[in-house]
Amino acid sequence: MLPKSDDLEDLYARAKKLCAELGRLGNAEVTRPRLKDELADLSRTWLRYSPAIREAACCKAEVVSVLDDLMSGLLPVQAQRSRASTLKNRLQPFVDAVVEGVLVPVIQVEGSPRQVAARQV
Amino acid sequence: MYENAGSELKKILELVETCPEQLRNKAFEILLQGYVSTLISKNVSVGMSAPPKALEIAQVDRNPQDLWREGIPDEVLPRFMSMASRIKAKPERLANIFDFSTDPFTFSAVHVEGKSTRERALRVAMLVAARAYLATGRWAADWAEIKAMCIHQNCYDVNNFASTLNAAQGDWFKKVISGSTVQPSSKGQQESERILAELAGGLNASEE
Repeated sequence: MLPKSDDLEDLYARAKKLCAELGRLGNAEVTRPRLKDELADLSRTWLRYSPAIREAACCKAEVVSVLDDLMSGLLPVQAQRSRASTLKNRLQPFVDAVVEGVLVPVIQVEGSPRQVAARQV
Repeated sequence: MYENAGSELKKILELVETCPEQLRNKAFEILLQGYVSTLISKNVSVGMSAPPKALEIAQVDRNPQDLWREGIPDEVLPRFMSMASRIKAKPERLANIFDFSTDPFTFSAVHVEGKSTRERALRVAMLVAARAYLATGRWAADWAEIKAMCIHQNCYDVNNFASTLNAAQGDWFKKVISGSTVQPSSKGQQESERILAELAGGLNASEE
């Protein structure tokens, strides 16, 4: 089932917040378990949404693939040592691309007249 | 039209007799309906005259002045006409705001004005509520439809969309359910009608 745009907005807001937090750490190693957990959770959430988004065929498959790669790279963050800048370099392109590439097409599907009429029924 | 109806009816009754007892009523109904529909299609194909009343209606429908009515669903038309009269706009100009060629009907190419992204998003929400009212009779805009329309109108602010609508609760909206619906208050309904009037060139718009 296609994730709701509200959920994707939430994911985007979390990614943006984490990106800013990583930016503040500069080149330092990420040692805070909370930050690592949040990054891993963000990655897992995206990878859970991704197949349904791909299946709905409302977004370009190559965009979804790129975002999948970026987020897969964040998944092992809990188990390995990483610099904040490295993680930010993975997260920033996700933040930059997810709104136009995924969120907007999902909203257009969700807000299409047929979908609206179906919900009203 | 029914010249040979007697013989055809006999044939139908013979066929019905061959059916099991419990299905005879239904079988008779279906066969009779089939017979009548063949007569109608024959009349149309050989260009026989339709009953005068139907012809009159068809001519009225083809009147160029009433072309704007085409595609407007029957259940929508009364609300549509009363809305046009309330906002003192010509119905054909009000009809131009919407695209009735699709089912359900959507907006045609309209531009929603506003001083800021926030104001434009609120006006979009009220316009969507007005469309919902015309379509269903309920003043309740679909959350996702507002969002999609905001994208279309280039006033979608991903960081502030929900907070913009939520902040107007108690003022323009009586109820905002995030992710579900937005219900305009009486003030919001008036504003919705004012926006429609503005777009349709109603008196309310020209008075400003």
